[in-house]
Amino acid sequence: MDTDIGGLTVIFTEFYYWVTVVMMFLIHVGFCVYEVGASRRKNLQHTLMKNTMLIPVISVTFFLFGWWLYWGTVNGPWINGGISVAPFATPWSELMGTHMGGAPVTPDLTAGDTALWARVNGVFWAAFLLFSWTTASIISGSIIERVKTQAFLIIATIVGSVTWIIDAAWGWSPAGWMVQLMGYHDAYASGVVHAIAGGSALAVLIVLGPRIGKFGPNGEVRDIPLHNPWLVTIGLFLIYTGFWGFYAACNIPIIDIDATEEAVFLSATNIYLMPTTLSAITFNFILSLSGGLMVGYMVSKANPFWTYSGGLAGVISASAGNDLYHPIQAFIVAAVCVFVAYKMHYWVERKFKIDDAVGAVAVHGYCGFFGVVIAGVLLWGYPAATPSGDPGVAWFGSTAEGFPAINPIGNFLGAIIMFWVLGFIPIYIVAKILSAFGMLRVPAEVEIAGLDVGKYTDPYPNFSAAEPEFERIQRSQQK
Amino acid sequence: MTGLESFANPTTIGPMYPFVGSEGFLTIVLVAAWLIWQIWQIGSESREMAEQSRKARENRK
Repeated sequence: MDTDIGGLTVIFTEFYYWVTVVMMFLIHVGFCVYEVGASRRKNLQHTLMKNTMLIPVISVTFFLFGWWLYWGTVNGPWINGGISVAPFATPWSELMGTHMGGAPVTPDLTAGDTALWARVNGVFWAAFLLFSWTTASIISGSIIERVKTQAFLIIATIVGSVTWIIDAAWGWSPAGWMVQLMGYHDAYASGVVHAIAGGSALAVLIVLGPRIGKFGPNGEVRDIPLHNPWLVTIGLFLIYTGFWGFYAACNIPIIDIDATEEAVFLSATNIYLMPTTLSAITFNFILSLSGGLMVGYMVSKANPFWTYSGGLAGVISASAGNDLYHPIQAFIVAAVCVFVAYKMHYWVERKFKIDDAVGAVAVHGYCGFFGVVIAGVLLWGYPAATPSGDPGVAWFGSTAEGFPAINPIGNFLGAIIMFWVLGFIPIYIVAKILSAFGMLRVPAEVEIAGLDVGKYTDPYPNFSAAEPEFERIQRSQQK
Repeated sequence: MTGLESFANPTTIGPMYPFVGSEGFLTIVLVAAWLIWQIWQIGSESREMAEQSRKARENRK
């Protein structure tokens, strides 16, 4: 802030992240609209309140410990070093409040800390917080119409303020041990947001079980009609819009990337401080969206739900490498992954009787997993990040300059860590505990009657209630 | 006085909120508020769910 250009850079960075946070709010608006549309009339207010209340619960816990976990656990800890010191990220830090950047009051901070963090800590914290909401909200949609809000909020807290942010520390930070030692690369969070959310959703779905009547006595799959397909599509449009803000939020907007002392070369970078441009990621966002929409439309035979979901899944699939791909590569990655994920969704549904109400495991989990794996192949040999310690020590190869190199093994193992190790396993255990205490699933008679019934008034009092075919089946199954 | 009395020399200004030094206490308040709300939510939903369940069973008879 002591020169004009320095001051403008800081103020621009602060404003940039603030704008991305506001844009990303649309993701949550979209998820709420989408889930309400996907719920039946008798459940929609319960669905809305469940997803809305993750906002305060995750925000509070992310303030208390989530933000510190991002900075404190980059080394594992004890994989590539110990617990990192992050005095600007503790809830009692003066830098977690209104601050002008002058000399610190508390002894654990330096003047450099306050000068750097005073104006960016809040907006940077909020950007990561919005990613937390998204990660938890992905799970929310898959388990609608039978999960208790109390269980969901506990799971949301663990995913939103613990497991996802640890995976971000490991694989979505230039100093993260997965980046430094494995060459892990996941620029726009195919794995660190979507694969972990998909893995977590699958764990809850297995413990929770399907909605009553979803599967017939001979294992046949019954379609549960959406309450309002238009809300679903508007919700997904809003999620697309917010996702653009998410892409911008994953970048550092302006920084000197020239390694020499003599020259200055200002550029945007990805989260790993490696160069990219807003122009590149805009190309790639739109082409991967297009690839996903076209294949989603094709494989679902123009089903609106799967066409829109295909667009979202396409972006998720290409996100790991969308800082560097050519737009046509992004298109192809999206198209292939959406085709495979769509087929896998129905195969898993039939084979394992998994009732994923919105296809979240496929759209986020499978596409996020495949997207990370493909990025490891297509970007093989690119520098992943500047070495934080000794150069040339990465497990699966380094560049000639000693930078950890992006590679297929590192990204494949990284995808497993995201989906299974940090996504599936912890949440499976938590869901089992919640189930054992009777906190996970609503009673059958409440599920049949509707989760809104007896608590909320009819949201459509001027429309007559029609009982669709599935409701009759569900009711008969209870007798 | 709860905090600053002048913005005349902004380069020297650090924390600007009132009662600087109370951050530890404020953290304890937030932890308590979070846990109390979470426990209340679990209890409240469990009671409501039991009532909804009772009504649903009665309606079936």
